[in-house]
Amino acid sequence: MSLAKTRLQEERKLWRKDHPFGFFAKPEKSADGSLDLTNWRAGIPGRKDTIWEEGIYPITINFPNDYPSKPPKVKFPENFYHPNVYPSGTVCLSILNEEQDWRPAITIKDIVLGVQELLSDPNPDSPAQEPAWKAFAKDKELYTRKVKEQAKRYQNYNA
Amino acid sequence: MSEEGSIDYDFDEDEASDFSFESDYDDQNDNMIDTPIESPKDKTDISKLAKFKKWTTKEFINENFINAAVKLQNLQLPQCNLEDLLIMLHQLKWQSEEVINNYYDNYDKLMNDCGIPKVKNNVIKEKLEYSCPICCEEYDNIKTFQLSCGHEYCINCYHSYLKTQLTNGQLIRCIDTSCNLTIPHLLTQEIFDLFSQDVRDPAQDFFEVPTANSKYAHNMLLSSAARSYINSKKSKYKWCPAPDCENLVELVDNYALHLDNDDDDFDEYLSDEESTLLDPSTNNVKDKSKSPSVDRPIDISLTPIVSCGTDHQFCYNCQYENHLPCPCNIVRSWIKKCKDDSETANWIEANTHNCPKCLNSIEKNGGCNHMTCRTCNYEFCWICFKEWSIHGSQFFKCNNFDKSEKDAIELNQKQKRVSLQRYLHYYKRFAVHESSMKGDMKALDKINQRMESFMSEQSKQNLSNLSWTDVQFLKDAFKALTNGRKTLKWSYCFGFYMKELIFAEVFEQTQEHLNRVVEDLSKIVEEINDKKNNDRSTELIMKNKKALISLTNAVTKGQQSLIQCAESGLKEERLKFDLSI
Repeated sequence: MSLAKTRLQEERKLWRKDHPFGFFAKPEKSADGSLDLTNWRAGIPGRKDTIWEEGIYPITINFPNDYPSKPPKVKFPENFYHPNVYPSGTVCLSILNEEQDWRPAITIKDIVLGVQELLSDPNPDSPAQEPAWKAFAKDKELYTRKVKEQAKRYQNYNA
Repeated sequence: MSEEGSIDYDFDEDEASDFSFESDYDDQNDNMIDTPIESPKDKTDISKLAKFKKWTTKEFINENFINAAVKLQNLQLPQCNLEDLLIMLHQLKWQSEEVINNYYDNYDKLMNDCGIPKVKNNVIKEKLEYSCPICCEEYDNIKTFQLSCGHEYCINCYHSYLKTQLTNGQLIRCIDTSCNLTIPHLLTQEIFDLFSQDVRDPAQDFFEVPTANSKYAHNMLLSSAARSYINSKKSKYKWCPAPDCENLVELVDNYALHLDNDDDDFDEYLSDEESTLLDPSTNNVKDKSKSPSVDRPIDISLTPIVSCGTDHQFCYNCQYENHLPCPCNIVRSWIKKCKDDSETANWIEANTHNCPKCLNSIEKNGGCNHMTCRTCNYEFCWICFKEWSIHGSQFFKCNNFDKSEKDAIELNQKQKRVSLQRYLHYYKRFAVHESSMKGDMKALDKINQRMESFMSEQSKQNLSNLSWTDVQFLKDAFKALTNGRKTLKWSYCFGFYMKELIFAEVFEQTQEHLNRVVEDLSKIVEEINDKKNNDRSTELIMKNKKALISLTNAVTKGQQSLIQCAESGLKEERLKFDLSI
């Protein structure tokens, strides 16, 4: 078994034993019904008392073959509204960047918590899309409205 | 770090690792390439006064990284150990001043930023039944590594972590996300060495007195730090562009006037030069008041040709091989021309017509003049490019003939064809010399190998007292041949842009002469290397010694006179370029 697989199995065990409240994360099923450990689906609840709170936001986590040497790729649905999410849905977060803060010790739990934090606490210095970034910087009212609209859309997302 | 190299290179290296604390000035001067100083008053001749220094990557690390740390330890910060000083220097981008200032002004922060703990306990352990939290493997027997923080991981995980971290040239920290401790340079290498296949010769280590420099001699983290440091100072350091060469050249002092000693100045000079040279209107400038130097003739002796420690010559300005007799702007223009599709476009222009309706290119390679476009099915007449239906449905008869229009098109096509042929003429010769150069190199490599084995055989059997100086002529021939070819190669680029002035013929004659001697020399090399003569190659070498030496001289002379011819021709404006070609 490859290095990535062993580690991912362990990650799965760890997650099932204990994970933060309101989150879910699980490997996708492959065509033949077996678990595909390299592709995970997860739900990130918006933090309480923020404009994100009502939604549970879906992400996919894709692990490369050389994981955990290389970080996984985390994606929201396309055109997800957030200053640090690319139009493709790819998340721009330093702990997910090989050249920045990725370290092999980062777990799935660290990742989903990191993404949750990013949702309500965007980084205006690394814009990834124009609409959300502009609104966040210049028109807070519009930004709040858009985020809340989006939260409603993802209200009922779950496993 | 390159381990291959000529004898001179090895010698240099020994000298460099022979650590002397304060390298004296003369010593440094040996490495300097002084370009001749003619008229220090002339402000435009900046590059003439430029001084360059050759470095191998290893020397660079020794001098700027390791010796910097040793110096700090000997003078300002004797209380620190070398490892910590290296980390501090690395963290503060190798600025000794910064290290001293921060050490005394802001000690706690510096230690924290550098990830140096108060008490050190870094260990590589041999462990039984260990489960690593990174790879989640259960090992029966494995080495583990931990820094003083106690975050322990298996050595495999540490090794692949180090490998990925190595690329950015920064200090490497503990794998744990919240831990800032730094892995010292020596330890990183120790871990790499655990996985390295090649075992270093113990005899070599035995004779080597361990110095600071030898301890760090193969440190991969320092090499990677050197790469990123050098790459971040592009105007001060240039890598040698020769393939696999890891030498670099430093611009020590480029300033005629020691007024402004910063990088911008040289950039400015370069871009200034660039703009004046690239401007095709250089020779008839309208606004002279704005740029008074613009009207001066091109002086290729100003081209900053430098040579690295392994004798690869290159232009510091273009970071391209020695391209004399061509000035830098001509080189740029030529490279661009060869690279982009402008010549393909010219061919299409010269040999095809566009469909009058959909503008697709059509090459007519036979058949009648009733054309049907394959793309849009438009039917037209190849003669007048008008719709076919007006030509009737009988036999071909085109009366819609506008002579002047037709002539214009044909003239244009003819010009394009001539210009294409002209380009191909020069390009072919340029390319031939380039590929011959590669061929020559291979041949000479082989000959060199054979000579070496021959020499060692001879000395073993005490057959002769030939020494290396006796076969130096081979090395000289090698150098002359490649250099001669290089100059010839670029002389065709020169020729392509040259205006047809009377003096051009003198240039071409000189070029022809160099061509001949280079070919003669190449022929002997080829003959020696011929498979048929496999057994007699050393014999042939010795037999042709005289011819080789004289041809070597002839090539070197021919090369010099071609460059001189170009230089004086351009200076006195007997030769001129036409960049509008």
